[in-house]
Amino acid sequence: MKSQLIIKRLFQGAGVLILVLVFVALGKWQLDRAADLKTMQAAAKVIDQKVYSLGELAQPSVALDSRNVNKTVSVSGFYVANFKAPFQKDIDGKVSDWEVALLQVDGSDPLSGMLVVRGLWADRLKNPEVAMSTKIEIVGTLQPHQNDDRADNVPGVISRLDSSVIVGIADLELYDGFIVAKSEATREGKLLRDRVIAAAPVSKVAGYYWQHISYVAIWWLMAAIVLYLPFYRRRITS
Amino acid sequence: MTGAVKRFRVMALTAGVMSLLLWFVDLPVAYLFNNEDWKAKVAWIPFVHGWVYAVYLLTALQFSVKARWELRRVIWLALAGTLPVASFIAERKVVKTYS
Repeated sequence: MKSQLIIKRLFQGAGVLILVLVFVALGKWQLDRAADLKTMQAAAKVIDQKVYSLGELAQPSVALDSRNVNKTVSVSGFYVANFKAPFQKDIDGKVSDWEVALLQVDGSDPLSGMLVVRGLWADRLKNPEVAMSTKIEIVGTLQPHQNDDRADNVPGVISRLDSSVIVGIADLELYDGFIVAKSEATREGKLLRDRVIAAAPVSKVAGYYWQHISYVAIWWLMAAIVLYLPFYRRRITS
Repeated sequence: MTGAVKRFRVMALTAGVMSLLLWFVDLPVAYLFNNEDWKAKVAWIPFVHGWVYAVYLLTALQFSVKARWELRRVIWLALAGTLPVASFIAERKVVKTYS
């Protein structure tokens, strides 16, 4: 009888412990989301004048660190594919079709590729000298991949600026995110065309920082309540 | 006990109003309409709801401990703050029994 009671108490204790751990973990998860949101919002406001090489801030097949969003990078390589990215919004809210190229990064091993927004689709014929064998030096801002489609994925069209959409088109290890080119140059000199400035990235985490913090408080409060409940029950029975 | 009931009533009504706003104003604006202005105008709702619910939980716990409610009813009372109307029902029940 006594051993049964001990076993019952052990199971109750384990149940309480599991619930507490679950609530604490949920609070921690919510806290991470709040931190991600804050980092992304801060990254959107970052004005870092330094020009980094792409390899310093990103690696192929690795998620882009949100702290590196909006930083200026330089990279060189060859355009191996061209896409139309319809209905893209610039910083002023103007919606237009953009020209996006897949850049094979020079000297990468294994061969890697990065999406580069070159400018407006309407200006795509302005630089006929750029061929697949032309080495291009690019300076631009690093942006996170988009999550929502603007169009259907058909040949020559990219539904959103996200390298996962073009996996399989080229035999390259793809970088996460994309570069919005501020300048392009070949051996002959700079390529002149109008550039676009991407709208501030939208965080993947919905909601607001203090809203997430309130949920952290609730989850941890729940954990505290669960810890208290066994004592509460004892008080009732007594 | 009267103080605990009063505190619970205030928070149950506030949480109820915030739940109604969350379910029938904020969520439709966030997920049904693609209007950034509207989203900005209702941004305060989930934030206030989160904190109001945290305080509601504390008052619900304090009240149910003082009333020596059984565990099942305590859990029901805690969850009532998350659903629209449920906290109004809880408030009515408490008032009926303890006022």
